Amino acid sequence: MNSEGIDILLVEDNQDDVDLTLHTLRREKLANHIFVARDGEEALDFLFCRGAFAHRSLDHPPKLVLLDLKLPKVDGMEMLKQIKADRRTKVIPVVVMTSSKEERDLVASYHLGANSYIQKPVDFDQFRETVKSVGLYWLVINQPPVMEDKQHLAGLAHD
Amino acid sequence: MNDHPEPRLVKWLSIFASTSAVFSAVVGLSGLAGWILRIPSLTTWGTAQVTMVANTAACFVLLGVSLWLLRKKENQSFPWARELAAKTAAAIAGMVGLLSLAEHLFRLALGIDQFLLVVPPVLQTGIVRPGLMSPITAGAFLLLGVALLGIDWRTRRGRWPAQFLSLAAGGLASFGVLSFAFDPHIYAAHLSLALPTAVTLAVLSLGLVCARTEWGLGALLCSQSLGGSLARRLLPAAFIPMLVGWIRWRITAAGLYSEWSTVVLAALTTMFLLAGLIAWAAVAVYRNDVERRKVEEALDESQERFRRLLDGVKDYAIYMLDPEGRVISWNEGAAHIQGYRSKEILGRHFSCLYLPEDRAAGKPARELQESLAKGRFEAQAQRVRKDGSAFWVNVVIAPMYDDSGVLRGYSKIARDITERRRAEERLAEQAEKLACSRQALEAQTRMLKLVLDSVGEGLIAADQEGRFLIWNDCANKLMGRGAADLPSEQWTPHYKVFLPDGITPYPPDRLPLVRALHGESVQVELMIEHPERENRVSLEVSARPMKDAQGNLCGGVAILRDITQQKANEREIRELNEELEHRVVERTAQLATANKELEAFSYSVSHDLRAPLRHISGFSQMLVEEFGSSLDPTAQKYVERIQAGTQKMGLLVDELLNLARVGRHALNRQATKLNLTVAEVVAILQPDTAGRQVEWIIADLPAVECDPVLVKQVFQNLLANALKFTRPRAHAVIEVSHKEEDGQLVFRVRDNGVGFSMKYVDKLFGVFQRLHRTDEFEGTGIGLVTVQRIVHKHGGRVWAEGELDKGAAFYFTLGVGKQVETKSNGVRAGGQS
Repeated sequence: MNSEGIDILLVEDNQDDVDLTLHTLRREKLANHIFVARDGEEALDFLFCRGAFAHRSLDHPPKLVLLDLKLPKVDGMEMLKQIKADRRTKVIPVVVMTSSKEERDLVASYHLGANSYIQKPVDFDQFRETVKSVGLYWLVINQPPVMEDKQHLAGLAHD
Repeated sequence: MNDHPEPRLVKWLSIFASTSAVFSAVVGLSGLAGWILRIPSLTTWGTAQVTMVANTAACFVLLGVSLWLLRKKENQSFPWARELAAKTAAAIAGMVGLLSLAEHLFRLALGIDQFLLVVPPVLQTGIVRPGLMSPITAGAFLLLGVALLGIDWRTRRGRWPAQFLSLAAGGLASFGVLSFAFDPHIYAAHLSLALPTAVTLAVLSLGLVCARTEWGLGALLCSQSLGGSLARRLLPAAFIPMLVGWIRWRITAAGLYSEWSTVVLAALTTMFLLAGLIAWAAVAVYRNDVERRKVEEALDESQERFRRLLDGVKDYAIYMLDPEGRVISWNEGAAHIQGYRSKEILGRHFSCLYLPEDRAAGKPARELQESLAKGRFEAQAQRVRKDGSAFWVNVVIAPMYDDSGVLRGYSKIARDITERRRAEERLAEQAEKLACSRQALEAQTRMLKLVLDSVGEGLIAADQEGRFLIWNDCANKLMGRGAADLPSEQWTPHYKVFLPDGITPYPPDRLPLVRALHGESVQVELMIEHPERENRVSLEVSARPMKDAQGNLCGGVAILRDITQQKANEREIRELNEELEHRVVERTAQLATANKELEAFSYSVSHDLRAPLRHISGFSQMLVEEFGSSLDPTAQKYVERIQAGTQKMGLLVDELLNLARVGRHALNRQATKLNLTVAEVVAILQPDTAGRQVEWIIADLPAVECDPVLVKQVFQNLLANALKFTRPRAHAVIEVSHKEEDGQLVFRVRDNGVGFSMKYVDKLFGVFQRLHRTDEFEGTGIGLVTVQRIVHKHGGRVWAEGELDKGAAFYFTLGVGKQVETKSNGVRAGGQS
């Protein structure tokens, strides 16, 4: 799989959820380039171009990360922490999509810099609507940061 | 006034009387001897012419003896025998005189002359009856005999005839004596009176007069009075005529001077001698008079002084009574006390001063008698004043005697003691009162002691010097010893007092009572080694200084409480508490673990239960969408059922999670404006009212201290319910209001929906309990449980009232009463009950 030019990094361990999400995204023609990481470690390796993804360049980060919180190995919170702690990855919008509506998860997520928090609805229609809205918003409506201007980014980081 | 005889004269006269008696007896005996022994000189004393006859001599002996026996002498033995003998002798002599006189006068020959002695003829010298005594002698003997018989007889007029009789006899005898003195020759020729007879008669008659000096002439002669003095002085005058007569007779007989000269001479001599005697007597009278006047003046003065003294005494009635009880003197005090002027009372009987009943009882006379018997009568008694009022007197009656022991009257001294009696009565009353109050005091003291001894705490009080004033029973019991009279330095060793460690002896100067005596108020614990208890006794002692009314320190009081048991209990409680705390920590840890597990459970539920539901829903949907054309309608219906089931399951899971979250949620109270909360909820519910006619009646709700998030959930659940169950109503009315009840704010949410039967009211708040079928009103049966949990978390309660088809009302409180004042610049906690 061509790992360059990925629009969405979907971090989800449940195959059913992966299928439903992908089904929806494709149906709405929102993302052709989706990379699915099945655990937190794989997702981090992908983002930071490590391990199996060492060939990847950090210059081409995904446009959106859809993050489940309950993950094997490295869980969603830890991932979020690492993403938002790193200068290179912190600008990537991360939308937490989880079954839980636990307040502490919600609060913790925002504290760690999550850009949005969404509970996956049980009803499939609602689920589809939600995924569609998120994709539309972050990939179409929202203006992403200019990744190419590295100098400027570094300057900002050092201010 | 009694006349005091001159003792010396009395003695002289008495001697003379005795002498005359002896003389008479001796002359008589010598006469008789002369006759018997024929010695004429003994009967004639040498005169030779006239002899004393034997009868005469015998009579002299008898009269002499009689006089001797009758003379006054103290302590005579056999007085009656002596008197009988004397009177017999006198009677015989008198009888002899009488018989002899009878012979002379009536020329009788009674033979009395021959009775005693036959005179031998040789001695008869021309006398007819030589044995017969002369008539003079006979008369004298008669007189003397009678006189001696009645020597002590006194006439009613106070005269003593015996003395006159003897003087008469003396007169007769004197005639003989004088005759002899003038001229013995003529005497012998004319008188047949023998010289011894005449002399002895004279002496005997004088002796008889002198034998009684108590009265009559004897008394007069002895008297110290002027009378006595004059008698003694003038008596010699009696001898003047005799002397003058004798001189004149001698001169005449000698023929020396003429008759005229002798008369002149006699007159002159008599004149001078009498004048001299008179002058002498006058001097005596004059001196006596002057002296008497002086004495009288002195007496008057003293009497006056005495009277003034008596009258000056106003507080005492001093008066005198005569022996019969008549008032004879009356002082001013008596007038003052008794009310009688002296003029009114003098001469009246003193019984008028007594109460009528006392008078009737004979008290006045009895009191006089008692004073006579005992020499004095004293009493406190009631007397009556002139105006009839009674009063109390202290009266003393004493009899008054003169020097000779004759009762002269009574002196009476009375003092008005009405005031004193009153004072005494008052005093007695006061004494009684005092006794009463003393009794009351004693009763109080006993009561106090009873109280002190009944007190369950030891009570000890001491004065400034550390002497114990109070040491009640309980103190005895606690200390195991009674109060000892010891200085405070020795209290610690004596009572065995230790510090709470039970080892160190208590410093004597730090003992609570000692400190209290220095003005400190202290409360300490100490230990006592009790003589009857195995373990040491822990005492809690509070001591306070004792102050008198002026606030001066006057001692200290200590209260002792046995805290041995309390200490043991405290220790036990402490141990139990420690164990309890330990257990609490343990349980808390267990609880925390359980909580964590529960949290983990609900966390996993929210993830792991929802995910499969989502998958069922998703894939069944996809099945319909992608293969719907190849599915027959029945299969499609089944897929729809699957989807409805998953939706319901999702709702259930969500609400259960919500309920769990409420349980875990920490209460965060803050002032909350409930109207805003309700408004927010109504806004949320607005979409559900689409196409319906719903009237919201929201009262002006207060701001209260509560958790705004949870209370919002309460309103949301209740209002959602109301909205749901009013769905059949064309015009739904939902009310939110509040009221204050028993200091609690009660909130009410009421609707006019389908209501419920009160029969099932208990099921309303049970988990998964529903009163309606799901096809009527959807629901999970968790909403009201959540409401209840939130309300309980607030310390409030929730209840419901309803009636089938008439609507329902839900009430809840939030454990708050007073409204919170909310200020314009924000909300701040006010008060919460």
